[in-house]
Amino acid sequence: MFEKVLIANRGEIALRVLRACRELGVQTVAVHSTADATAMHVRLADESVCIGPPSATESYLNIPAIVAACEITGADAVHPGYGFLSENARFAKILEEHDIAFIGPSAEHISIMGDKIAAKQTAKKLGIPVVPGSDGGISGFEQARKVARDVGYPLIIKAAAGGGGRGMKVALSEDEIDKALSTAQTEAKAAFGDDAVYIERYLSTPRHIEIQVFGDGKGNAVYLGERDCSLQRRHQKVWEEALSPALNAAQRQQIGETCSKAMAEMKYSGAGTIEFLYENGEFFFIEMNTRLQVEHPVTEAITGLDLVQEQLRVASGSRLGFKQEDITFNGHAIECRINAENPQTFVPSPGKVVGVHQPGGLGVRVDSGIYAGYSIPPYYDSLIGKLIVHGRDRNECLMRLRRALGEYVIEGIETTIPLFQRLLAEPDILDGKYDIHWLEKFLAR
Amino acid sequence: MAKDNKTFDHDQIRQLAEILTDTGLSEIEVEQDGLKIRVAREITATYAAPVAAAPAPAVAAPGPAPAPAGKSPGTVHSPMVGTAYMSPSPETESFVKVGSTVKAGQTIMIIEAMKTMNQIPAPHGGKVTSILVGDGEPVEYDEPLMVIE
Repeated sequence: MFEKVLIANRGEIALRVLRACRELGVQTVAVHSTADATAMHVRLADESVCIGPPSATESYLNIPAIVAACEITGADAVHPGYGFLSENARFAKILEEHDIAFIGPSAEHISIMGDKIAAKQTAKKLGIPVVPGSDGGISGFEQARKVARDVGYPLIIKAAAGGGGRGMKVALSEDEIDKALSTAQTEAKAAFGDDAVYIERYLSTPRHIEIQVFGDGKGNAVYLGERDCSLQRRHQKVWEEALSPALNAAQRQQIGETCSKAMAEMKYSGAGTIEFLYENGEFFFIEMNTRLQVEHPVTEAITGLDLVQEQLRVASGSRLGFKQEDITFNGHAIECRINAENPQTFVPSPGKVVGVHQPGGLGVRVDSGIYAGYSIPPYYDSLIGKLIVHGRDRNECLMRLRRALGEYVIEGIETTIPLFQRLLAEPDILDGKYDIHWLEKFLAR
Repeated sequence: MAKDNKTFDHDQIRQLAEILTDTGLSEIEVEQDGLKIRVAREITATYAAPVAAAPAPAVAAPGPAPAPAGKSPGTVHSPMVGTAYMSPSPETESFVKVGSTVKAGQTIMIIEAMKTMNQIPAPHGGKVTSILVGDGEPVEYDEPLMVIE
């Protein structure tokens, strides 16, 4: 096991990683920008190093500063959290060159899955079902129109270097494809520095279902069940559930085994999530995230496993602590992402948190670094906490979620807590009948 | 209180404390003629400020870094993370001393990171009134390095 882990992230996930390290007896180093000097995880860490000014480019994305922080503290491993440098193959490589462990998969696997075209080709080779589409990148209008005729309309044009829901344009018919293609290329260039795009069939009412996988890098891999993350606003997940209300045990096992076999063949190391669009009983691979995800706690709730601790174990050379037959799914869990935003307009609401009362009780977990007196900095994303609720079945979970939201008080800023209370009054939500367009339609009412 | 033949030699204790500071040791214990003296200080990594909630071990006196200098307008703040070196090489003289006069742009120290030595220029000219980091000490971004007035 590592002696000292440097946590290269901020906010709730940095605190999450710190907690796992502390339970394992591992020393922690919190690196932070000047704006995050008063963050809870910085206060709790064994050591802290200020690495730059508020701007993420100069701090949390600043590779030299982070490596220098490893040097002066003697950290032997870095946990990158999610976002920031967590899927930066160059960062993983640089750490390797400096003899510092990167808690995550190999730089090679990060690269393959980071290029969405290569990822799809790799998935196909490994037997994972994919969305019908162009086999590679699209370079011109003629090629686009030809592929479109094979794939069928409606279709969606995606940035190869994109991901996380960004850089995508829909074309409903052949009239729209030229404009959609050129817009997609321009936007991809601006957002990701690379105008390579590919085409896929556009599914009209799919659910977003993702499979949590775990590998030990030695050819052993397991699946830890699925998460249904269909409720999204502007392609950002807002509410996630484990298990999906849409799948039965047979489907769960089949897609799970397909994914774990693929990861075993790849000799994948660490946590990963394979994301699918699911429609009419069929799964279509969209992308793989080679890191821990925001919504990992719902999987922890139904499996009883600490995924961050497992990441640390695997990265330090241990085998997986469990086999597939050891994994059971118990009950149901729901996570609500609490953002510092107006619950109707979603205008960001940074500022001072004057008072906080977090819900508690059986089956209630809050992952958040905020505290009374803490000022939420305006420089980063608006996620300030996650409320995760577990019950023996989905109904109990929903009742518990309603109860927990009712006692969750954050004073001084606006939060999206009221949004979740509204959702719990909707029959579709209570019945689990929703797809990836549901939330946008609800908000447009 | 029983009175011993020996009384506490305050000078001796002070000497021990000075040896601690000069050498960077954290603890010295001496025993002579049945009298044992132990002088210790809590080491905080000078770049850490973990004044935390319940379980953290008590982080005591901040050690050698004097606090208030950060407020002075002449304070030079570190532009990077790394290890500070006060002289071009271990054998040579330090770049500046307290009392030195420096020009803007003049090298005042080196900060080393990932095996590269980065010369740190004085952001403004003036007289060095205090030096806040020691040779070979780790520094973080924005940390007060010295005061040039």
